[in-house]
Amino acid sequence: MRKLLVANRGEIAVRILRGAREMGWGTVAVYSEADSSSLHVQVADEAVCIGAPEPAASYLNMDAILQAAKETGAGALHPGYGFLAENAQLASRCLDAGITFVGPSPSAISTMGNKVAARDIMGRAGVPIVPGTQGKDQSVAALVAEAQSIKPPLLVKAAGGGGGKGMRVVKDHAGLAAAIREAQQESGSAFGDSTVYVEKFLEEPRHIEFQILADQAGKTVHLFERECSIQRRHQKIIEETPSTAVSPQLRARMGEAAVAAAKAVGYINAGTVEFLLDRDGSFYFLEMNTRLQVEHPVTELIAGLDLVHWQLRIANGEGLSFDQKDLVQKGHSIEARIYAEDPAHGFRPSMGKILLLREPDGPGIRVDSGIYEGYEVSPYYDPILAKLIVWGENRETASRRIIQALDQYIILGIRPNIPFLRDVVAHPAFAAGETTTDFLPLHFPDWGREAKKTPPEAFLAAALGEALGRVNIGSLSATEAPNPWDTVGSWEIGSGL
Amino acid sequence: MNYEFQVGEETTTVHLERTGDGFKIGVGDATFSLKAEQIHPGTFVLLAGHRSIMAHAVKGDGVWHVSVDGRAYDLRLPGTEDHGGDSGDDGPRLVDGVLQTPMPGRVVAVEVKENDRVEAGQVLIIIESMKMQNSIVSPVSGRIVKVHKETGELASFGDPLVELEEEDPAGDA
Repeated sequence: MRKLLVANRGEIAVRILRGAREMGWGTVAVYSEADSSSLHVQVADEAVCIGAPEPAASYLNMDAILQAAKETGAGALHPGYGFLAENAQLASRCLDAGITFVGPSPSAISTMGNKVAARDIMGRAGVPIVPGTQGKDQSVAALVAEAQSIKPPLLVKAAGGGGGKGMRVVKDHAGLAAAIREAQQESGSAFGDSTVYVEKFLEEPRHIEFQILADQAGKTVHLFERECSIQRRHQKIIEETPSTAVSPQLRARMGEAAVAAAKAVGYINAGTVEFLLDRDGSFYFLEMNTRLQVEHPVTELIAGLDLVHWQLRIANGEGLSFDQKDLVQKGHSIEARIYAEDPAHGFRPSMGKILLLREPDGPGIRVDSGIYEGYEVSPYYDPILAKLIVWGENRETASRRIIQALDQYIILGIRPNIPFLRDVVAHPAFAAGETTTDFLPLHFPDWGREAKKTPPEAFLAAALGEALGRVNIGSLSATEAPNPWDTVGSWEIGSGL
Repeated sequence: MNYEFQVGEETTTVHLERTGDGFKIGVGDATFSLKAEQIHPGTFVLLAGHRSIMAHAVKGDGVWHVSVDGRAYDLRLPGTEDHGGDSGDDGPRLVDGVLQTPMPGRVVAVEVKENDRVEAGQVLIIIESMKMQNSIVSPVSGRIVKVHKETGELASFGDPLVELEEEDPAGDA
């Protein structure tokens, strides 16, 4: 029997560990001192403590993780997402230690991790990249001349940039020279480097990515697209497949480009090629994520495949048992990410004990969760708690289903983003499929700022809680105020997940 | 039996009375009759006429966390501290000149030192929590009397961050 160590935590570790158990593999969880009672520890056959709560001391600690693999005799390692998932050094150290890394080769990881190198390789492989200047000659005249062939609008961008400094958008070539001068000045004083680039500017682009699977023999297929345009501060919150913006013809072209991108770096295992899709139907390579994605379940639901099972089979040397032509999309799937972020208070982190948890269920509803009732949300890690994924025969059914499921999703004790997610998927612009990357700033610029009135039913439930709580507990007299932790604590025992 | 709950600054009295097969409940001026059953600790089925309402309520640290129709509300028992649930106040709390930690995390930067003059809105301390950097800004203009945290230290909810002497708004100083 093979044994898999999952070098991660939270919902993704739980999902991978369960997938490995389904394949008949032995499973090893690793955990930090803050995570000894976490769900991923509970679902694994073996669990090894790898250090202090801070990620640097535990989930990013390669020595401790590899030592845990050695101690438990785990012959394979799955990195999950985040932490060390796109660290070429971990992949290569696994290789050296004779441990199967469930993912691509170290060289594929490092090539795709270098944006400039990746862009070059993609350009040579015929994968479309955003047209832009090389910028070797930084004189205004040279940059203007170099940018002549790019269709406007244009974006002037600082090489050392960030935070919008040294950035200018111009509608046509006439305004370019002035914009370059301004941007050079601004970036010179902001970053001490006045180097700028000129690129085609994409207005309200969509973020469309393609799921790739490639076996060790080089057989590479795509499992269609995921639309991930709805993002808050570059954090995806809603993902779906198929995309309303992708026609069958466009899907075929983008899918081919994604497969070509993966083949160009000799990619093995599951990966994702991200594109920006312009309004005119042009698409451009953005980057490749050399790991399993957070939003992989929407692909699983419409393609009818288990990506974790296939990752393990591929790592084990098995070939893909199907061809591109065998793959079909069935129905529509939407995912909402449940974050421990309080949307009524500027999405500030919300920590503490989950006092009550009710997860939605019913046809077409899947919850990938890393939490349970009684779980303590700590400040050390990413705020993702769980993912709600639905499947419906079509987009409208899936949309209605996810609204309904979000209404059923009750987490009390902390303030997750559930009410915000519900308003997003219930918005008419979402129903119309107008999901572009500026969806949230456009439709939800100031969500939750208006005062929310507490309905009488809420007072009623709290009063009943006070009254019935005392009656049910029995041992307490009516006048003695029960200690909330006594009562809540005893209720939680045996209440399950 | 009467119960009092606070939301923000407002206190609401709820009158609860058992009737033959249910409850009569007064919230403020309104009165409701309904059947109610706690089917699982924290989970209530409320039947008001033909209307069926699923409600959840659990108490922690003197706050009732309630969910009705998928929306969550925090109702505090009188005399308990406001943790900023529904009050609409999401800034750090200044209590007797002491600025308290609004969220647990690690202090990653201290931008001020003793005796510094600060403006309202100026960043004092940055706390990293759940991989996010949160700037703690001064709620008032004034002078820093004492800095309680150092870079790298952990801060729990309510821990003192800095002591501030508020500037006299009349400008006599």
